[in-house]
Amino acid sequence: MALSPRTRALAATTLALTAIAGCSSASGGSGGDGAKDGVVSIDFYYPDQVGTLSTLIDGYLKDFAKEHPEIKVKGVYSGDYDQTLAAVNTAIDARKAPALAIMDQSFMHDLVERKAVTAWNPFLTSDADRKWKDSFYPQFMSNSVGADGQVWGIPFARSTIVQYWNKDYFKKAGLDPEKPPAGWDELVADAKAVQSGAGAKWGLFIPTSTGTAYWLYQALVQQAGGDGAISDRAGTKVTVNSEQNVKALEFWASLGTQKIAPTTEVAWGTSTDDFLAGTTGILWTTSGRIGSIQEKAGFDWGVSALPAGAGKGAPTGGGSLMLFDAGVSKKQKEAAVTLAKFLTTPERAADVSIKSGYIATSEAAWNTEAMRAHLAKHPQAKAPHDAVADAIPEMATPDRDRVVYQTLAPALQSVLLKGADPRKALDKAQSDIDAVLKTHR
Amino acid sequence: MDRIVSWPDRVETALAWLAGLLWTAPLLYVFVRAFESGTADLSSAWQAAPFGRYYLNTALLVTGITAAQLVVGVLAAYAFARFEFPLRGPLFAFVLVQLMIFPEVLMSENYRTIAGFGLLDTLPGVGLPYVASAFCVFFLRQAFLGVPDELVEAAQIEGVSRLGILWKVFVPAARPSIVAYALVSVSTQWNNFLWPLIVAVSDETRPVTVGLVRFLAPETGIDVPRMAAGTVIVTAPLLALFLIGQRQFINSFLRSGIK
Amino acid sequence: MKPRTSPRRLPDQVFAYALLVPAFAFLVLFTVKPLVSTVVSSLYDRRDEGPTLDNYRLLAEDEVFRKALVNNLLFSVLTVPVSLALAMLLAVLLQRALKGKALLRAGVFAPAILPVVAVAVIWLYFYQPNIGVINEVLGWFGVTGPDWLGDTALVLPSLMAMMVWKEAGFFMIFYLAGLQAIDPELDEASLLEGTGRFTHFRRVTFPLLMPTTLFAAIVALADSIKMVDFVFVMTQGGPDNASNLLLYYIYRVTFAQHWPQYGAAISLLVIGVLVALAVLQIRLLDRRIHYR
Repeated sequence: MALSPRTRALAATTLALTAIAGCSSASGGSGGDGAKDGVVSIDFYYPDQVGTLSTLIDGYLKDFAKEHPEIKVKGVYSGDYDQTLAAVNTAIDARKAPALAIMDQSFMHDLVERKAVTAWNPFLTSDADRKWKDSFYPQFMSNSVGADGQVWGIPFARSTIVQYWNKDYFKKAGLDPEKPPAGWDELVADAKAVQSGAGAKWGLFIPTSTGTAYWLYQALVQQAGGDGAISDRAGTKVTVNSEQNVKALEFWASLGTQKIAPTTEVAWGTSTDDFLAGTTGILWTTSGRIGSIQEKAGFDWGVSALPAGAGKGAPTGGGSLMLFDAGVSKKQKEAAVTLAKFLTTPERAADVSIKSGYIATSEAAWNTEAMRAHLAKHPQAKAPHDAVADAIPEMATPDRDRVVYQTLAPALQSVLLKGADPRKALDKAQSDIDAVLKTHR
Repeated sequence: MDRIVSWPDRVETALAWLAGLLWTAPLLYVFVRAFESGTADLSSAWQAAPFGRYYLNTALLVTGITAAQLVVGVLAAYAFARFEFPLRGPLFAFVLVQLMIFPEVLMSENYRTIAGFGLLDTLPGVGLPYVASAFCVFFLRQAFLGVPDELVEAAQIEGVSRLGILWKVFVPAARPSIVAYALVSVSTQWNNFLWPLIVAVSDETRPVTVGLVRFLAPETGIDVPRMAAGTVIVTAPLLALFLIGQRQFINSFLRSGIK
Repeated sequence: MKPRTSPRRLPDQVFAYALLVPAFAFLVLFTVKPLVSTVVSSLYDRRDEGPTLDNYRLLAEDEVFRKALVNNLLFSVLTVPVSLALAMLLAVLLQRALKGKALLRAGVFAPAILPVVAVAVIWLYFYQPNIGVINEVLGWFGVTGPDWLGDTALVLPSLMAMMVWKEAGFFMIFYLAGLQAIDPELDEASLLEGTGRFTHFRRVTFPLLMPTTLFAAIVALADSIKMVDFVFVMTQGGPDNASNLLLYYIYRVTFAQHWPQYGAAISLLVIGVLVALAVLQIRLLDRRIHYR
């Protein structure tokens, strides 16, 4: 579209006009290195997937302000993980990235590839620093560290998949309420039993929503004896059509054909409500739901690690603290590191875990007094801790949205909801994913 | 002249109530659930987010954008409807082409522009991309074209200035259209979510919609009473306003209706 | 007749240009400039190398885009006329002398007051297959309700129904205003002649409401493309992309996948369709206004 001289003149006028408007209303942004009168200002974006985290963080930030008057933190609640990624991406484009943000750990490859994030290593120079880094569970660190040993994320709000079961139903169906299913055969048998013996509408819910289907699929692949991580460490090699991959999906689809689970989407968000309402006897979902189930369940319930098959273990999930680069000065990054240390002390990690249901990120946090008191009162809270022992990394690739949400999830759904052939669907997904990843090697 | 209550009348009345019930039922349900444990859920929802501030932000945005759109639109529409000037046709076509191009489709680029002005996370930053609306210009021009020449000539004879004629003749004559457009604009901004979500990142600039999502996050499973309470907080004031002022509201479109 | 002129008065032409400055300034800044950047951006690959037509080549084979396009077309083509027809019907019903009229009007208008995100959260709950209100009500009549949002065949119609619910009440207001403007003598004439209600509606009311309908159609069409917030809250475009819509896909590609160049190519295609629609509408509208 060619611009006439007149149009250009008009454009110039507008720019001038708007610039004037801008100057009068801009609230003195923190230009330069973000330091002013010895006070460093930083932005900190935090998502909240569970509804309780943002209040907690708001509180921590108030405490931080008291302890560190030299650092001014603007805490920004940024929606869920996907919205946070979008917000951070736009901010990066404008070179106004937050110095620190809690990001879904599996976005790491994307962010590293685009040089959006800064490694933590240059800021971890003293022994105390390294001790801090090493205090986190290796299962959580495993996908925070790149193939070259660079640390990109510090675990904050991490989780894994666990199994919840309705003990009342188990009792009614003549099953041992203290013995959750430990393998696929038991899982199917118990699910059928709560349907026929206790009148549950459904036996087992394994959510199939677009945003999380891959995560639960990872656990099934691991149980089928495959590589549950699905992606390699660099994220550029993904396998979704191995024998075990197919077997896992066949098993998942068989739940529908056996009428243990619906053949329509099992919604991630509301599956907990279904469990609480007694719609299903068994539910696989994030450990982050323990809190709300504890609060609302009107029946006796239990929580355990997922059943095992040829393999064992569930993927981790959740968010880590990441340092950003675009428009962030060294001073601001240092301030961000200070904030990160403050947010991850064992006491706070325990507090986050107790109040939100995320898994405390270090052994020290599990040994705090607050956590011990909590466990004494709510023994169920120990299940995720035990599950972490066998945890595998969450599937993470560059171009994750395309690989995971746009390709893998619809492939899984086409089998689970529309009865497509598992092998064909996975073969097609494999070639589509390879095509996407080819551009990232 | 009284009509006899006939069968068709009764059918229509029944239909009216059926429709009313159908449309209202979901909201009635929400209101009932919001109060199922007294006002506890309401007060906890109210405390969960600074709704007063969100409301203020939304009010400022809605009134600011609508007013700016109307001022800008009225001026441009006046030029197109009333004056002859070189390139009028092409310039108007230029506006028309943008009738269906809304800022949402150009979000990424607009973000850069706003960032360039240093207006991220400010109310002007949320509002500026909406100030000029091609639809507003187009629609008001149509309305202005319908203003009878005699009215304008009479004003000219009285020596009213050109801006005076716009203000005293065109604007009053096109009031129904202006009100109609204002309603659309207010509704659009009231619903707006995506753009403010990206641009307005702090509580000081967030509108109600973005604030509402903060604690409705269905990721956590749905807490119906809490969700209901949030919905009531957001909608009750407007609903009350409508119930009280609906006659004036509808009448403000004036007898001549929308043209 | 010559208008009185003062010595300092700007010539009409200059005055007219001055009137246009604010509108054009903002249009250029927030539509034209980004549009030009979008065109340029769409010609570069993801690493900003180019120019190339790769993005458009990709677009031609992008199954998700095709799905989103078809979904959106269905969504627009069905929700716009249904919303308007219902709005008109509701306006006709609620315009007559009727006990509780004010309350009924407020009730029907109420959904329009709810922001889309709130509507989405409420209906997400209503639509739940096992614990949702709709299936519970169906259960009273012994009907086992389907999984409204979890079934690939039902998810789009379910979302459409929800948006019709929200939009119809909004457009009813415009029709109520339009009906008020109709000369009551026309009603009486029909009554005296013994014209049936439906015939009266078809011959008198409907044509006289045409300007309102065209206005509402533009607004409704625009809404059907840009009001996609419910996809974020309810389905994320799933299952199996059955509820993916254009603007949502653009958002995902541009912001979540951070591929603004490809997002630009999709945006341009969408804009092309929108401009074509705009031209079509203007033709219709112009004819109506001029030859009425």
